[in-house]
Amino acid sequence: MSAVRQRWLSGRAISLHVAVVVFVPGCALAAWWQINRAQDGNQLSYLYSVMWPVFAILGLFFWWMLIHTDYENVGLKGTRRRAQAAAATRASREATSPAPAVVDAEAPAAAAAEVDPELAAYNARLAELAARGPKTWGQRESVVVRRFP
Amino acid sequence: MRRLAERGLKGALFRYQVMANIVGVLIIPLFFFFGLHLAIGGFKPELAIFGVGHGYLYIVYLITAGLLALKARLHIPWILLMFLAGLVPGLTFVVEWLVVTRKIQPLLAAQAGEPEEPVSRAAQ
Repeated sequence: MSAVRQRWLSGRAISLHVAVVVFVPGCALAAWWQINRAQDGNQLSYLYSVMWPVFAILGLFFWWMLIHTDYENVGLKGTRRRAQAAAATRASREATSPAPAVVDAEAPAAAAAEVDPELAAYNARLAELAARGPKTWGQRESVVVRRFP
Repeated sequence: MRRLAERGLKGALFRYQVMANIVGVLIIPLFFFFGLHLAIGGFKPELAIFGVGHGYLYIVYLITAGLLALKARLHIPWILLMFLAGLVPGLTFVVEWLVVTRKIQPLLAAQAGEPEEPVSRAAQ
């Protein structure tokens, strides 16, 4: 299942579609009903004839946002998962790589930084952006153009 | 590194708490006068004032609650609970306390453990 299908056709997404398909016409009907009541002279119905369209717009907005919400990489679950992954990589690096390897890896970077700190910072920034992966709704900042699977 | 989409969580939480308390306070006289209206009759101006006030501020409450839920990545039952709480007297206070203690504070604590600035890949 591709990512687009997963986003729009998962069980959660389909229940969201059903909810919005029921909710928005319901709001439109209620708004029409309140507009007719306001025209008949009910003062309070002027308020409700504004409120129901606003509810419909809010429903559409939250439907769209909930379809595109990324629960895996951000939020409480994602934050804990990232923390666990970082701890695991740190532990494995400490267990496997000996100390001289770290010194070897850092020595060329330090030498380059001495040559041109601005260029080194630029390269580090590019490497960091590239390592973050493609641009998604969860992470807007990226140099990598998003490729659809 | 803290993701871009998660910044502003504290501001969203503050706005939600302000609106939850305003709406929670306003709905109590609304229901009180509605009960009096059903029992005795009358009280039209009070009902209009509190009804219109609660009606428009409830929209603002919905927006703040929804934006907080999107920032904190709350799941749909929590969002529905937050939305419905604005319609039941006294429930906003309980739901606001539940959301803050169960969802937001653990998230803030988990985020506090992460480094704020992006760590360079070369240094890792």
